[in-house]
Amino acid sequence: MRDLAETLRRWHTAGEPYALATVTEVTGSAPCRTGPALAVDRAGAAAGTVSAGCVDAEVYELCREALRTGRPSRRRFAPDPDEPFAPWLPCGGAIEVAIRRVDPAADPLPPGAARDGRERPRLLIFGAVQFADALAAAGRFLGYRVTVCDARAVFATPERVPDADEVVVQWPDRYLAGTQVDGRSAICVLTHDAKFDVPALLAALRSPAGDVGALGSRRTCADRARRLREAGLEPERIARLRAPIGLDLGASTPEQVALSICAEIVAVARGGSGRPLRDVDGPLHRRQPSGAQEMSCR
Amino acid sequence: MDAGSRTPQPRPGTIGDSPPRPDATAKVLGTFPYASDLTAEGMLCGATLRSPHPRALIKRVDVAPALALPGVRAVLTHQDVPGRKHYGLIVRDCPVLAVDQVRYQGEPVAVVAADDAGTARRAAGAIVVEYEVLPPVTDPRGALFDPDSPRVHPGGNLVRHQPIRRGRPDDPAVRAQAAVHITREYQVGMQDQAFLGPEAGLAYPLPDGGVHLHVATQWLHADREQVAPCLGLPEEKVHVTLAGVGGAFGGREDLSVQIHAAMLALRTGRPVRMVYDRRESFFGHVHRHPAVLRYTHGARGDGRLVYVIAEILLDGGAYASTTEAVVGNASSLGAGPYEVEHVAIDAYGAYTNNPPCGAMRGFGAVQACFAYEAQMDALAAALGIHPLDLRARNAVKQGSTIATGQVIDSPAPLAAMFGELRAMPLPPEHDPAALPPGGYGNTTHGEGVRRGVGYGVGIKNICYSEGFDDYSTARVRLAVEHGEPVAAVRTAAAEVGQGLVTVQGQIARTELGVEQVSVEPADTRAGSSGSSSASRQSYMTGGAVKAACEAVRDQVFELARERGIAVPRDAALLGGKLVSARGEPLADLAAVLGGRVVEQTREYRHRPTGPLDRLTGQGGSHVQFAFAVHRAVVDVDVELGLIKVVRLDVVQDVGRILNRLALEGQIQGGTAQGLGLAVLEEIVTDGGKVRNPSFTDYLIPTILDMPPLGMRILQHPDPASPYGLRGAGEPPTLSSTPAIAAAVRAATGLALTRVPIRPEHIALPGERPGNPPPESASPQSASPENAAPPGPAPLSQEANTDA
Repeated sequence: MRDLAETLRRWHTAGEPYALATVTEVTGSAPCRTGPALAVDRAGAAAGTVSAGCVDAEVYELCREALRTGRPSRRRFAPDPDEPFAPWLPCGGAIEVAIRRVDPAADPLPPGAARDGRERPRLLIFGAVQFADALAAAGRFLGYRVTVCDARAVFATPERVPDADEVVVQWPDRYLAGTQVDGRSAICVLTHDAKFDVPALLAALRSPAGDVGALGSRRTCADRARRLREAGLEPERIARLRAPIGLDLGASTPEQVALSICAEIVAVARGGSGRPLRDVDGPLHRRQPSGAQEMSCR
Repeated sequence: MDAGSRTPQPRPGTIGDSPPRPDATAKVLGTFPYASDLTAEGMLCGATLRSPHPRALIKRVDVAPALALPGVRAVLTHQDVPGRKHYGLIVRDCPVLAVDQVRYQGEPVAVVAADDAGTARRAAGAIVVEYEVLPPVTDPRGALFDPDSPRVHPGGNLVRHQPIRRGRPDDPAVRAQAAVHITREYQVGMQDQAFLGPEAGLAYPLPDGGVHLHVATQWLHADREQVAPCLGLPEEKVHVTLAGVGGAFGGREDLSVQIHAAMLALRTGRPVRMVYDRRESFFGHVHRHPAVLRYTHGARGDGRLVYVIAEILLDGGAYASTTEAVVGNASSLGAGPYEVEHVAIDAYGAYTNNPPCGAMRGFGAVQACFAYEAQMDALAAALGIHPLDLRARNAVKQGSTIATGQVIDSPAPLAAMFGELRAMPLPPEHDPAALPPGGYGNTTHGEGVRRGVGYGVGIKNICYSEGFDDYSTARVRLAVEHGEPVAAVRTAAAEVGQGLVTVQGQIARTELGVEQVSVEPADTRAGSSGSSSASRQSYMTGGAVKAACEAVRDQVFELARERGIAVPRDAALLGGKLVSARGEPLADLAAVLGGRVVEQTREYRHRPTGPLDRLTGQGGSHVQFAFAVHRAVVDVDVELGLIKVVRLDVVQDVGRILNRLALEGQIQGGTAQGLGLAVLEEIVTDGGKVRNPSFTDYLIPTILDMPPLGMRILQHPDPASPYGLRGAGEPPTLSSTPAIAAAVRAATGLALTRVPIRPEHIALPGERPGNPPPESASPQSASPENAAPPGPAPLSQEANTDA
């Protein structure tokens, strides 16, 4: 349920037909977004959810039906005084759901993979260092597509960072010049070696990436800032750099460091203060700041 | 005056103390088993197919597609009802499952039992029903008085008409005594009980062909009386055990799952559970009767009432339920707690194709109270008298005669209650900590916000009326176990959340001098205890427990005397001893009992009542009268029509406080339910179809809507009742609604003749049909001339200053 796309990829690779329900329209208070929502395989296993419960059972049945017959269907769930006992959303919202059978043999790409238009945000990790894999795993957990990039072929291997979606052997600045990043992207420079990270950071801080951080001791960070200034980077771009990277959790293991870094990434993306909630006022679940990245993992 | 402070400190756990409820911990922890939590080995789940149409003929039903689904064990229609096809609390007019036609949206047509709830629900959906849809009868006035109206039932659309005639209200000479005449029409929307625990029950088939029902209900024996004939079983083969009840408020007096679950259990030979979800619950029980009430009041210049004329139309919906008795209350209490010599009231209960209506807290008295209290305010405004003064000049007292000719022969301390209410402090004009109307919506900084104060007074009958013998039975056992005296109380009285189990234990502790009391589960193996309604259980089952305890005590004394112990007549039991009136020990209970268990069963009856005369409505129909008085303070954003009830204060006389904590809970809850009716709660129907069957759209008050409630509880004992108590659950529900409505009127200057008051009634007055004409904002300053603005029909107001 947490990662429908992952399940779909798996089912798709396995090659067996399955049924997919996609929310095509949402109005009112319905607690869901458009997009692929719930899938059912031949064994009756379900992945995902349409509306966090209220019409899931009904949509599940429609998926089973579509899987059996191959006929796609479309179903609207909305309050209707003429059909007072039909499945509905008690919140008063309305949604429309399209249900179809997916045959992997005829359909090489899993649904939502490319066509969906809601690509996962990217997490770029420069430096296949000791704890890059823990960070890759944490990034995946948060819904990021994770790329680990290092110029050293000995270190930049899928075996060393099995949790990354892709591992690239390349100089980070050159890689950045040839790949797409956007406001939802986060870049973590873990090399803490001026030889690697100054060129990487020059490219990263000039990119549209929403969050750029770099590892390093306070001395390394001060030295790096000086080098970046000397390389001609504008002070406001240098100010974007989050270094030393991470929130103050007292982290020591690779997993703890990954958590500290990811916590900061979430705080940057969502506009959080990073302070204990106990010490801050205001609502706990703030609305998405405009332009910030979607953290959903459906 | 709070007489409670004058009474000596009660012994812990006895009458007058507030021991915790025995079920409190489980309910707070979420471990209390409600009816919907019940399960059984091999249990099937039931589901109900309901009509989407308010009125239709059933042309064809095909259950084959449902039966074809794997996991479906039974699909039943009216043809499968083993016995009588109809049931009802008063009139047997309600089909177990629809027979050839449906009369309201949601009427059960078929029931299904399947291996799981999802399959049962899908199977119900797979049943094919062909309907011929007919135009529904939705206007009660048309249903009653239009000769061309279709008949909802073959016998016509009138459930009951009850006239009340007293004096000569039609005599021009009588009318001429009045200085002011006020005629207005009022409306009360359809309120729902909105109990949180949905309808639920579990039926077990028994080896002898009978059935055992575990069900959330209000009246076990009435359930059995209705269920058994429909199953074609003698009553002794139907057992009913009370399952955990999550609120009732009248909505569980009629049957819901009982017959259906029993039929499915008997057919399949397996236990069957039926649980409604929230939406189905809105269709699964009766609601409060919506009402149209047209009142004319005439009063002298000094405010004394001369006459009251009223026509009260109560929409009973598709089936009779308790409409008959609701009409009896609305008519007999229709003039309110006021002395008035000349009365003509006509109350009607109608059949329509709207949702069926029946019992809800206040039971007919609520609707009348909203209207007659608004009339009292209009008279006060027209005469320039303070609304509370006007009420005080007319209020009944002990010895007064009400419109039915019945004399109030126990305390009716309204004068003292008004005094208490006046003495309670008003909230500050501006409280920076208080939320404005609109709450956190940031809709105002105070501009457009007006404050209003209003009053409401209600009179409610306690126990069943009109000659009904609603006795209660209790069995009490006393034994000595491990050296300690232990009492066990057994009744069939339904604990619906009101705290009766606590009070039963308190009575046993009081009468038998014990600490340990167990209140055993309620079931039909005990004698009937009547319904948990009409504010009657403390009175009736409390009375029965008290009587059984007294009988136990007498038997103990008799045993002691047999053993040669001198027991004076005023002896008592206390802490495992027989003691004298002064507390001197006479004998050890253990020694007297010698290992015996003393057990006594008693039926308790209130004094008999009589019918209302069919033509004049005269008669001693009521057992007891109870009163509550509310004052409401509201802030209204007159531009947006948003209402914030700032404070409520209530004075209620309860005769004797049995358990202050439970009582305060009842007064809080009753007040909140009255607030709901005033400004929030209404089942909205359109052409007989329910538009808001969810808690998203049917709004009940939350903690943010409910203001601080000041409370004064008076104790003027009723000599006829156990401990002098007066039923307490319903009266606050009556008076809080008119008090809030009056306060909103005072704040807005609008007549507001309909509850619930909606924002558009305030922000857009006159833009909708039935909206009232504007009225002077300040009752105190209104002169009779000002009080007669020209208004659109059917609302009119006359002021006659010539007399």
